[in-house]
Amino acid sequence: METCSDQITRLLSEGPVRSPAPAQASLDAHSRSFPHSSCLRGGFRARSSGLANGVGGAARERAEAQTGELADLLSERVELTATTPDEESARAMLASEEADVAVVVPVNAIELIRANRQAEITIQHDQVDPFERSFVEIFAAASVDEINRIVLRRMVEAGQESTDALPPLSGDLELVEEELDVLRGIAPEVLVSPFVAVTSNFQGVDVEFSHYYVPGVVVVLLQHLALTFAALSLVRDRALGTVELFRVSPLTGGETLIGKYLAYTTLGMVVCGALVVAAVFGFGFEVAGSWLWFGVIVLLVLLAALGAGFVVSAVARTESEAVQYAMIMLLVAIFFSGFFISLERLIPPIRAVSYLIPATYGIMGLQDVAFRGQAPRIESVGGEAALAAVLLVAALGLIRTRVMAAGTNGNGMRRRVFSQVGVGGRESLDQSGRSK
Amino acid sequence: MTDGPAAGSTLAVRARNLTRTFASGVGVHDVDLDVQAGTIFGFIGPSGSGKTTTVRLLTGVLAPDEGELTVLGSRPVDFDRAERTQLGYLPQASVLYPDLSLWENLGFCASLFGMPWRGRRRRMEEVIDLVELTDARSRLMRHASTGMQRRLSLAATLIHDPDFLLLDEPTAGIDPVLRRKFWDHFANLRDQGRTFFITTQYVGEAAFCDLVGVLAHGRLLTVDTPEGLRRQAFGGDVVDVSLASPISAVDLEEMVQTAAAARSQRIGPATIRLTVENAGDVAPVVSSWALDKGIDIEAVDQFMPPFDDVFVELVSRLAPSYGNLQ
Repeated sequence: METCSDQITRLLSEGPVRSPAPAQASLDAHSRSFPHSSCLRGGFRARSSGLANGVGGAARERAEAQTGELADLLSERVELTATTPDEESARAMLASEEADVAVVVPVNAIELIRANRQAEITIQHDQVDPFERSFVEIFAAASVDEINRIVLRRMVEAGQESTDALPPLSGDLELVEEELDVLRGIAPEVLVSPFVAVTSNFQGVDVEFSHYYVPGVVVVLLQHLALTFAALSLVRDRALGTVELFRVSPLTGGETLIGKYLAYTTLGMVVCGALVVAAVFGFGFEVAGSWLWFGVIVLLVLLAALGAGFVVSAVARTESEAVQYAMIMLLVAIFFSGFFISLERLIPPIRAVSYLIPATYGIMGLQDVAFRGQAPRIESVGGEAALAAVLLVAALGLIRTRVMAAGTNGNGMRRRVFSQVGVGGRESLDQSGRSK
Repeated sequence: MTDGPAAGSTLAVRARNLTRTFASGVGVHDVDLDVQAGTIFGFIGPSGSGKTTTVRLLTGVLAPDEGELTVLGSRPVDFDRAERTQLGYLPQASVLYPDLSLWENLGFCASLFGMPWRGRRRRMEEVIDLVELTDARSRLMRHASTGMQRRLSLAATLIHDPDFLLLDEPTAGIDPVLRRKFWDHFANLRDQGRTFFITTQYVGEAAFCDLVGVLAHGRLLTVDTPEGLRRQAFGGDVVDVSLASPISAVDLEEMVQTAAAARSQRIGPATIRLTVENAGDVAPVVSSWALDKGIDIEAVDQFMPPFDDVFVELVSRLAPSYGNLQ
């Protein structure tokens, strides 16, 4: 006769479990009630890991079978990328961002249950966003609940089948008694929920809700501040007429720009200092990583934002126009930089826009430094630096041609140029300046 | 208008057929101009006549549509750093920062033209003292009066001791006493070899210039010395002959012929204004004629018409010759 624990073992080691219609309906209903359910399915990649260390032969095969079956259950909600034999490999995939969550399945589930303990299915992730973390927790709890329901149902079905085929009681009453003792020894809650979900950040990062937004607030505020200052700077110079003085002076367009960069970067760093002091002493914000990296990222954000501001400044004709551009950039940064909404939740075309925003790289980098305690990933520093460089070149080009160039009116409208300066296609002039 | 530089002289500005027009049709048209180095060249004309456009062409802020222009031997649009350092430019409106103090604005302009830190403060004190703003140096630009802003702008133009100063209405809004002080300073700098190109709406200030160009409707009507302009305006010297009693039309006609006057005008019951070739020759001739005719002459005075009148006369005489200017 098959015991209850054997039934669990069999249920977990037999081929893929096909969820009956009522259970599937329940899952779908749950998914629909969760606002991010569709993103969960499309956005998360999972790596399942059976703890096979020290398990060999039939036990190893059983563990792999369990892992496969659980992975199959979870695949209703996630995209399974790989199955690994050990936890370290799964962590490595998390670290390299090949997977979003790693599901660690215990190989000794039966022993644990026999010992009156629930078997923990650990779901590890790399989320620092409290919203995303909660989402993983809900996902984990719902998935394990579903597994428990399926296991329980299978147990009951198997029990009923074995009762039907029960032979007349003979001299094995002692064996039956032993099995009943085992059953009596397992607490009802363990029998009903043999598996329990445990979620954790694989690096042990646990960010408070109020702290999580500090990097975003710092970056978005600094971007807006720098962009607005820069955008208004040259527009005001033009409106005031000071740019005319620049053009008569020995100053070049590049020098003008560098001077403004220096001034506004210094101002931005001072403002950043004030914001960080307020966050540290007002909210207890802590930076787990290097303050030097923190400063480098802020510096890059400021340079990129100033570049964007100078581009706006060269294009805008009035102060109000420049302010409007700056406000648009602020809104874009709030919604598409990962400040409120995780970048993974954005559709690819919108995500492409995100990577044109200085704040995107800044938030990414500061989260790495402040929460994960590690150097910013290369794409955040490199992306920000590249964006800053591109915007600097664009701003320089625009200022040289639209603002500082001789022969322009400073508002970006190039007038007909003196023929002798060699503009192609113009008629040549004789020495007196008259057309030939 | 001038034909070319005097032999052996250095030209600070040379313009031929200089033209720059704007969408509205205003601008400057076919300006021929030579400005000798080490002189004060005045540019007078009514509002909208093209004075500021000309100055901006000379600085390279604007490029000409047509014509040829060299300033200090180079085309302004191609000025290099060294050439720009030689320029001092005073725009017509205040272009300095309203949120900085007068002293800070002056320092900003000093740095703009690359003045070294060493000696900068002393030079700043010199020029701010020249424009009599030492006591107001801490005042914000936005709180300074229009005249003070103008004075500071002038100080900012002089701060780096440029060789060629382009001043667009430097004395606008400044009291007559300080105006005169400025012109004395300009003359002093001129004597040290500096060149000035100054526009002004105070036509009387033309008297302080070595040469004056008269501009109207974007056309340069004439370039001459201040005295030459007077003679151009009235066709010669103007003398007022004051008689003891009115004379008849026949006697007046005879006096005009005797004095070889080009024009005559009764400006009082017994006062006749004559326009003659040379005022110095008129007094003895007219006195002799009056003695023969038994007419008592109380005085023969050379009349120096104010430059306002000179300007009005010149424009009314010369501008129509350009036909439909607008």
